[in-house]
Amino acid sequence: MNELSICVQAKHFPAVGKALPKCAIADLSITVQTGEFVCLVGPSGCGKTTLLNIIAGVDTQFTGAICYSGKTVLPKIGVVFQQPRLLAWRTVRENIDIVLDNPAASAPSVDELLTLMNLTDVQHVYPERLSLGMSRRVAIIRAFAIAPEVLLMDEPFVSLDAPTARQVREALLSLWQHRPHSVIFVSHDLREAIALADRILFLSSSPMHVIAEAKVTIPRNTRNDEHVINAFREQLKHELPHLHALF
Amino acid sequence: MLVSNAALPPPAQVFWVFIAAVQSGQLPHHLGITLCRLLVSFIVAMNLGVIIGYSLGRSETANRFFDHWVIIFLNIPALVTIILCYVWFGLNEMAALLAVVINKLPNVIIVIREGVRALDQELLAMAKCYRLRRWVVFKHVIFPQLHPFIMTATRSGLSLTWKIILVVELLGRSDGVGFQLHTFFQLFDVASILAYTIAFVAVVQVLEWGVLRPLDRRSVRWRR
Repeated sequence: MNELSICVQAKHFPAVGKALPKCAIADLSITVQTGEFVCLVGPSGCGKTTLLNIIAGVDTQFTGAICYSGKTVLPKIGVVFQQPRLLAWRTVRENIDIVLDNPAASAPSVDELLTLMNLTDVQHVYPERLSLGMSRRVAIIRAFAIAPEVLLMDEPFVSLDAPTARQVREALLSLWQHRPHSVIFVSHDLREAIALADRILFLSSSPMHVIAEAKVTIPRNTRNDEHVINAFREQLKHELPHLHALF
Repeated sequence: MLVSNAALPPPAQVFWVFIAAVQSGQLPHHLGITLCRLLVSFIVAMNLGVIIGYSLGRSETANRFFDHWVIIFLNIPALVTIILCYVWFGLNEMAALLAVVINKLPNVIIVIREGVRALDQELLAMAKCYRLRRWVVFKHVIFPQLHPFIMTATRSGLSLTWKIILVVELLGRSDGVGFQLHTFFQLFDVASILAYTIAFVAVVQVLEWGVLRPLDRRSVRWRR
């Protein structure tokens, strides 16, 4: 079984100016199975984005190792950042094509993604003309288009209005079910995590480590129901009383 | 009259001198030679400047080492480098071009270095996550962000090169606009000096509207 094992013994930020040195992550160890959807939930500023940077291979200044099926060679990773991070001087379509090895061969699947996200009409528009919600959807398409083995998402639905967020969330789930791959989804909203995840990991504030984990046992086809989500949330609250601050 | 006709010739006279210089082939010949020197030294200085400026912007170590040199060369008077080039390398074309390049290079370096420092780190991180190839990163992520800085270096560099090149010609060449101006100065021929100036202004305008502006427009078409 291909699994992603993340082991960060320590991640320090050196002192800069008057800011003191900071230990952002300590003794953190997470294993994600292929096709598993894992949500990381923790207070803001606890180091979730730092962790994603480490997993994505952007930040290499840490002690520990990221292994994929036993090797340190990283798999193909798609990333959706908190901000869309699109190239303002390239059109929507070009932004997507740039990350592809062979844009011509992937064109049909990109077309399909654009349709799914309701962005076909704006594919030749420059990102500055898009709303934030649309830009976020483009960033999500970009991450999906490379057919990643691991998908990292850093609060991708923040600041989307509720109907759009629901729509994008459903699109995300249908894509994931269509082509199973590991997803690591960072969120601070427990309801969102329950609606999406197979397993939820609760993270402490810095230095960050896993303080609890919970499997989401409710079936996926009932998760559209607000009551079911809330009931499960109450159940978690009951089972994990020491996580009170997070709820 | 405060100013004599010779010191401030009327426009009509300048115009006729200009026509005569064009018809005799003198002006096109010397202007052509100056433009060739401009083109060569400009291309060399821009390419070197972009490469060096880019390296210094990316590497803090390299920058710490070369920063002093850049500042020194930025502030050495043009005349000093020109004279030294002629003394060390002889009164030849190579020395002339080298002097122009040395004078312009530091300018390009500091502008490009600033541009590289201003690159959006988040976009570079994105490129790293998606493991884009070097060339792709340069073409789609870095170059578009450097474009305005390159345009600035081009404009300021072009005007600087014009000025330096004439001094270089005046001091050590026997052709080119600088050489001609020197001759007219000795003859106190203000009308000819003004005629050559007009030719200069015309060329600059053609470059600005024919080359630089279209490049500007191309780079900002994505803006709202």
